[in-house]
Amino acid sequence: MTVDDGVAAVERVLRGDVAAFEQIVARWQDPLVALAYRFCHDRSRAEDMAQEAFVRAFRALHQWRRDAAFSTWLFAVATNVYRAELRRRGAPLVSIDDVADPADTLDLAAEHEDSDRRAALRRALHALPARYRDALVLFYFHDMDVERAAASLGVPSGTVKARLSRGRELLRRKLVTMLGSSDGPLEEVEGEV
Amino acid sequence: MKSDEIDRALARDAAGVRASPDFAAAVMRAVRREARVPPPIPFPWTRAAPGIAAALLMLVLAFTSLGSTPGAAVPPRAPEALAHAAEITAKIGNSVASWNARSASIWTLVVALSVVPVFAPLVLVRSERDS
Repeated sequence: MTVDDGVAAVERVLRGDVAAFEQIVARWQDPLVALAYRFCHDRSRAEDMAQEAFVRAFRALHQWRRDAAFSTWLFAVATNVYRAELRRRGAPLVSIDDVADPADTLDLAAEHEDSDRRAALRRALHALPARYRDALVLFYFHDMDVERAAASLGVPSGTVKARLSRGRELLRRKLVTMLGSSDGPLEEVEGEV
Repeated sequence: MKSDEIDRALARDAAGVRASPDFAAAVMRAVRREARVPPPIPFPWTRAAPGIAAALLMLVLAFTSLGSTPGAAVPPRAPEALAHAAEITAKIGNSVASWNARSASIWTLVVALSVVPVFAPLVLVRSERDS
């Protein structure tokens, strides 16, 4: 199955073949779990959220209009589920242990410092207002593609760009507070667009 | 922390996070459960429309008749009002009593007309589904 050829599977599901949905799950399970993980930073919770996203997509499959790619629609559904879940249950608690990557343990001191910084980054990210956090999460998830991030969020690209700009600035400010250093003077933050 | 460092860290966040081997099976169990659940009963707007229209019509009629109630007569000038105070009070009392009786009957009719067509289709659909 290529990136967007889930159409045949969707058609079969819409005709009543529930088993065909398994092809969609198989194709999209990793991206949806990874996206959920970016929102919650908890593997178990990420799978629960991704499962809910698949169920919601199954229920709303007839609402997919062919004017957008299936993946775009699916990510938009999943994003809505994840954002609602975070609103309902609150931002995740990011621990150092959760952040540490066991694959890079050559230099323990450097790794520890790196883990600290990544943990601080995640804490700062989740301390942002939801509109900036969501824009940043989707932007980096979609390999820094503003258009796809905008499609997932259901807002215009210009809005995403403005939120990214302000979100990055807020993130830097928070990191300066957390880590106690800066890589340059911070510009005054403009009002929200 | 520099901007490019932030970019790198955020870009590789969740890299390597994959669904567990039994994830797809769990999702399909949930999906099959979902498929077995009957869709919610849509509100029967087409069947309920006549009842709702009748209820609205009766409301309009009720308010129209309220406006034409003879209880809202123009009060006479002060000396005459003083002279006929008892008479006016009696008229108003009679008018209010008659309006109360009329409004009660109109509202009973409105409720009867609106409730039956709105809820009857729901009851019918439920009974069909149960059978």
